[in-house]
Amino acid sequence: MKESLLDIICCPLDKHDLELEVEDREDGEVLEGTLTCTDCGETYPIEDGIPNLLPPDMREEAPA
Amino acid sequence: MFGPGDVRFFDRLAPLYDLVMPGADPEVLADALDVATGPVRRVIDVGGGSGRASAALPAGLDADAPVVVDASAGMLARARDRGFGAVRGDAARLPVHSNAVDAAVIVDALHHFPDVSGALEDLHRTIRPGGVVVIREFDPSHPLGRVLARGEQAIGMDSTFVTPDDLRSVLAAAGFETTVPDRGFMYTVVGRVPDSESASR
Repeated sequence: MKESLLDIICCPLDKHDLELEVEDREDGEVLEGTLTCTDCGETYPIEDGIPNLLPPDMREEAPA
Repeated sequence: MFGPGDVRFFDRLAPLYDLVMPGADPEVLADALDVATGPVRRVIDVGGGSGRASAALPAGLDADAPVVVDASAGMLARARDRGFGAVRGDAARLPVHSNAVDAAVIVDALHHFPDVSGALEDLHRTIRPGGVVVIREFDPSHPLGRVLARGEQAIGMDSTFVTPDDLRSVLAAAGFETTVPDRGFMYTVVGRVPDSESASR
């Protein structure tokens, strides 16, 4: 994902801003990292460049 | 939004599907997006899967747009590889800021949503005043639509198809002004968020 995506994405639970922590970046794209809600503290992984912003109760249901 | 059974269905039907599904017609989408007041640059493609509808969107969008939002990681990987923004999320609890986008499209996907009114209410929050949601869907009251609905039920899909007029009612309840630019087997309904000045009073 591009960092500018942070302008539109938010925590699915309380719709607050997310803080980005980058673990792996390539050509301006964040490939691996973590998004943390600045309000509730819930964390969301970025996997293969795709932020997983499913609410925590749906994370295991959807097949990868 | 797509269960494993749904995905198998699409794999098997893929060759036929592209033949008979009018799907994402670029002209239809462009015309429908024109219902918005002001420029349309930021678009989310909800339930957009592999990005088939996003690929049919008009040029002139933001660098990040369209952003495909879907629950299925496998489908999203294809959208990402096509260069679209890709976000894993639930349509009824969108991970998208309020008033953050100019438009949303839902093409051939609404019938997979478990909670259509919840999804449209949350979309209303994310679309700025004057912006639109464009929905392309199959009409279950059309002869071909009845065949499709029975077929999806027969193979165990949890698909719920709504008629254009029922969809207008759900959109209106969520706060949208609605129009139906296209009727037929696949129809188009546009919901517009009222401009803030004309919204009340």
